[in-house]
Amino acid sequence: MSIVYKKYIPIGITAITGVIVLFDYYVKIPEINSASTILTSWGTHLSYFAVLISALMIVRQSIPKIIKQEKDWYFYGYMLTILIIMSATGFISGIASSNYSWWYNNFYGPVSTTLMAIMGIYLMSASYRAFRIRSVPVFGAMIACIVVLIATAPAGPVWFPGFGTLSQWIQAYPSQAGIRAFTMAAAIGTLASGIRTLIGLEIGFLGAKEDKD
Amino acid sequence: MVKLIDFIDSSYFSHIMLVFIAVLFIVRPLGLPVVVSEQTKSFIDVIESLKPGSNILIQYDVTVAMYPSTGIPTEIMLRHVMEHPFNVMIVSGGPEGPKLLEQFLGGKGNYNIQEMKGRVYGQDHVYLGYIAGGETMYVSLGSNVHGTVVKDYYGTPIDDLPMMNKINTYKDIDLVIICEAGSDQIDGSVRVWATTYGRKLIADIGSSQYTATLVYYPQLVKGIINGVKGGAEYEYSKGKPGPNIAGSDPLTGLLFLNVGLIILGNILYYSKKRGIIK
Repeated sequence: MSIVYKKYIPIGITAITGVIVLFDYYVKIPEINSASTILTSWGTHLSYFAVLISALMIVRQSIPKIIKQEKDWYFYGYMLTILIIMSATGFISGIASSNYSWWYNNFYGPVSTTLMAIMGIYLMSASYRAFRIRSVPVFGAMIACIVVLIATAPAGPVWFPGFGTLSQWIQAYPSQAGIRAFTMAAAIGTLASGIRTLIGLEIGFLGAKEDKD
Repeated sequence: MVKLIDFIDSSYFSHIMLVFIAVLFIVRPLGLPVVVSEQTKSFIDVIESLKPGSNILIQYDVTVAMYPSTGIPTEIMLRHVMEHPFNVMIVSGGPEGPKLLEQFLGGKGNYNIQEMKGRVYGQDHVYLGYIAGGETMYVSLGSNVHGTVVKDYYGTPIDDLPMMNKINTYKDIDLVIICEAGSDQIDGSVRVWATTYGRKLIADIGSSQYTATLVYYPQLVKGIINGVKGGAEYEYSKGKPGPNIAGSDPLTGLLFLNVGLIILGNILYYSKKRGIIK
């Protein structure tokens, strides 16, 4: 009986939901179209529960580490403290309140921006080392990189008029060819994965591989 | 000589040069020229071709970390849109959006919305806040706005906002503007708004997303603002110099520094390899 609850019912719900939403794209049957609208709305509302579960999982995983004082336990403590403070402020004052904004603007904002700025410094240092011409492909990548960098600079196309056109060509043809190939490959993979999910072959999302039932 | 080369070869040199160039161009801006790209022109043209009373959905997914690259260019776009008699519905698919947009709507941004007389919240612009669910949320929003979100960011039921009576499904939306920072959400947004719902779409994105967005230009994405560069072009086109044009000088300096470091790295590498320097 357990396998019915844990496997077949969830697969059945997934398959029915998937088929209704899929059919909505291709057919104009009012019942199916409105059922699809309701299901996608449910999907959005369920996402809030996913956020809540994520927060609870963080709490569940952090507390044992803090109690046992495992490696980097103080970082978990800091994260948990901020989680509690931000959640409490949001619940009590509301997310549009000045109290919530104060915490956000004075804690999260500066840290997030600083981390990104530090990454910029490392990128500059990395570009000095990464583009050393050790082979023909690296030489090609370096030339493309220099052309795009110069064309990306707001004053670049004025000082080097041909670089703007060349950069457009690099981004419109060789670069797009590569990106589109990846996009199409990912799309075909997603389609295959979707079909497998609809017919019940893909059950990883149920945690079924860990389940011996 | 050896010490100088070792210093150049160390990380300190690039770090010091980066800080030096950035500070130099910020303290003493040179007013370097700006060339308006075809994508920026198209972006502005799409907005200006809309009829008065058109409904615009702005997908504001800017993050704090990418705010200098995407948020500041977005402000000139928001200001431009708000200057026209459009109905503007703004929504965030990321949790960081509300606090950033709050500054703009609250008049603390670089372009003060409070200065624009005649704009009334609820009648010509509405902010729905953060809605979880990513791509599914946008699909749901397109099929049934009132079924997806019940209250706006400030807690007012959306049925009580006069502007929201004009917008029920994607059919009521004339233009979608994506403000995307750094994640790969552009693909999902194109799938939902351009492919599935057939809406006109333009994108205001960070430079890191530019190449990924260019895949869809001009067929599905009709115009692109490419980070600070695009923001500077926007300000130049509108004749309103602001933070983007101010930021374009350091950007030019740092990108040329990057090119210089790549060339210098190769000169030192081959000089050492061939024994010209030790």
